[in-house]
Amino acid sequence: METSTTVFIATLALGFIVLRWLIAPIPPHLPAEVHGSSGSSSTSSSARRTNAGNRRPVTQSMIEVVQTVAPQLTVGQIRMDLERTGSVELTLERFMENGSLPFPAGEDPSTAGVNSDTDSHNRKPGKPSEINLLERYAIDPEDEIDEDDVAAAKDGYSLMAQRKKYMILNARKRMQQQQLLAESI
Amino acid sequence: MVLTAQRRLFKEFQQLSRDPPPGIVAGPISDDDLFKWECLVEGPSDTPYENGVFPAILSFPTDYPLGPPVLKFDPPLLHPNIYADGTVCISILHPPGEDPNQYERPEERWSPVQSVEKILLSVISMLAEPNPESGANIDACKLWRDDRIEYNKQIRDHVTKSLGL
Repeated sequence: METSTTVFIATLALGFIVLRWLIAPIPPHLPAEVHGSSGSSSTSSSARRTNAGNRRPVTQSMIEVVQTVAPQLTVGQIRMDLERTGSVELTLERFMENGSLPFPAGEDPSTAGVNSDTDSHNRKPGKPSEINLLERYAIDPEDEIDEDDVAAAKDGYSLMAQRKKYMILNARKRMQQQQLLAESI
Repeated sequence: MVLTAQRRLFKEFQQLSRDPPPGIVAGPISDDDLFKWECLVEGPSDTPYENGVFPAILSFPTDYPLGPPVLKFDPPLLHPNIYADGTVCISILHPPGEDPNQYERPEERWSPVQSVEKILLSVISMLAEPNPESGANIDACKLWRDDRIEYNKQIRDHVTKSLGL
């Protein structure tokens, strides 16, 4: 009689602990949409509760959730903040408040900019933007345009070279005519 | 995957050299690498780009034609929809699917039914009609909008110099 009661109480206690352990990690799973749509007061309270509870290891899916909301952040930034807060909500809240997240050691804002499409493409190349097409394709401007050359080209590559030459010489000719016309007026 | 891409690129190259669209020359730079093409695009007439011949590099991904190639003018060209480094930003070169900004319709974006020829024809129409609403090069956008005379002059100078005149 005595032992069965003890076993019963022990099982209840064990079950309670197991259930608590299973239920607690659920809040961090909340998708980003829920975070956005629910009131800010309830979000912050749930975030605080999560933070007070056990801290989960940072998973790839957590980083992805933050990245969908804040694509300009680097993975390094997100990982560092998630390791600190242990929750997607808290990290997002910090991001919304400050507009950005601190950079981990070794990364700085200049390296982070490369992730952004516009920034990386809008860097001017080092070399000058001017070229001379005649020099680049080794074309003699005095060469006559000969349609037969294009027809005579056997394989695709020499055909292409002939077409390029033909195109550039033709454009040059039209340009010269236009310039002459402009001068005569 | 790579084989499919190579086969498709070879077919497109054959088609383009057999029956080239006006104002376009395009083909692989060398036999060893079918994933890098050099193109020459003629500027459309009645625009400041008229009589210009603009070289560009097309870089294809290994999953082509599932993913779109990248087109980069070399040297860069002044245009509202071309980044300062020469990369072209038009809807046909954007990965397939819905636009996250709800700006482009899915059928305007890249899909395997598009081709190199369609890209280059789109680029020519982009040269004729810049789309400042989805600008890539902010400085070029501003110049195009506020000082069209200076914009046209810079392009004319670029074209004249490139032809060695």
